Amino acid sequence: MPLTDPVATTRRELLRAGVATGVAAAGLATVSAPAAPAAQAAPAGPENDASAIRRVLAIEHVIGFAYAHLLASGLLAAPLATMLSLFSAHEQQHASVLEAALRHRGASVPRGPQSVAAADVVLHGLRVTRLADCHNQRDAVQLLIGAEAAVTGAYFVAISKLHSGRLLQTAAQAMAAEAQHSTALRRVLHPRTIEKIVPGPFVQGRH
Amino acid sequence: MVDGRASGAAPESPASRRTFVRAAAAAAAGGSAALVAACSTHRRKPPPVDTPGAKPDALQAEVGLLNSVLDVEHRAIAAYTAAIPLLSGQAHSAARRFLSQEFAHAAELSALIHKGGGKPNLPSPSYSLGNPQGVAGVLALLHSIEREQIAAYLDLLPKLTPGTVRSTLAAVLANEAEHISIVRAELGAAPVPRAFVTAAE
Repeated sequence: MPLTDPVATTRRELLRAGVATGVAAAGLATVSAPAAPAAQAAPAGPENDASAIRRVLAIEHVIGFAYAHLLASGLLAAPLATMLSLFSAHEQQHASVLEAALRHRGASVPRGPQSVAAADVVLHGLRVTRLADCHNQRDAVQLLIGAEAAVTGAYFVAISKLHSGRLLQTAAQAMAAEAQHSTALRRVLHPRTIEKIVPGPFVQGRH
Repeated sequence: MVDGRASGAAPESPASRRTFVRAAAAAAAGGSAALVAACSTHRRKPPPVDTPGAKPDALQAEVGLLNSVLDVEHRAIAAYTAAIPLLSGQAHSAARRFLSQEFAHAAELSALIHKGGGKPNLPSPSYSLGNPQGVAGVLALLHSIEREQIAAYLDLLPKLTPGTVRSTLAAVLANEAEHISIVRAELGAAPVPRAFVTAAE
């Protein structure tokens, strides 16, 4: 089930969108459970690839929004802002490639969040700190660590399902870059503790 | 994070370089025992090998591919084992951490190969790791080792059937990407240069 893309301009619309996105996010979490039995595997082919891409793209959109918002927030010191500007550009590249892949498969491209409130609904569904709750640089970095874990997890799940070899390789390369983002962000919080910077041998993200 | 002390510098005399290569060989020879030891002690639980989606017959066809990547992991283990005594400070801590993670990768690949009815390749008796000069030389060696691993996993992934084995190895690739970003940072290079990780990093 594709993640809905709420553009809430009124409170009623926001509440309606929150319910819809929450349901979609719950569906996203359910589908993302690890080690799905072979008997329940989704049908092969471009349609399934499009479905897998769409889930990842929804999270790429929200993480892109988060980066842009935090960069404009004034919360970040200059050196960190420089690094995050680069990561923001990376996320935009990821989203562009995924959007092109969806169009190539004749699928519609979902729109990303258009407001902080809409982004926060999605972030909340992904169990990530909300933008509205970021009051300092540390909050911002922790939010981004959570968001990177969510997008890494989405790639992890998608990679098990993709049938296009080219798309698979692209997804693996993007997932690896997300892991590098996470490492750099954890290093900001824990500059001298390698166990926290590179915690484990298998990077699955959160799914 | 880079420690500028010279005490961790790689040896420059021929006799000391021979020691570096011998150390690598000894590490490789003891790799199996060390692998078991490392796996039995400080090891984070990997994704499950025995998953319903990873059918033995599918794995059987992929044993050769998995063994080729296992060879690359063995070489990485030898390189880190030889490099650790020559590093200090944060670089030393990172290399120790990464060595334990490479052991975990090798163990996972070995388990998958066993499940596919194959026999995991053993480490080579020795590895030619060149003559790294100073800390920068040792770090450059580790950088090239990580690039080899990234190349191997990127080449492998599209050849695997869809399923959890593929995503498990993508998780390994992501860890190698983390390693190379830290090594790049120690070398004074940009840790995350690209949106899509390649072996050209």
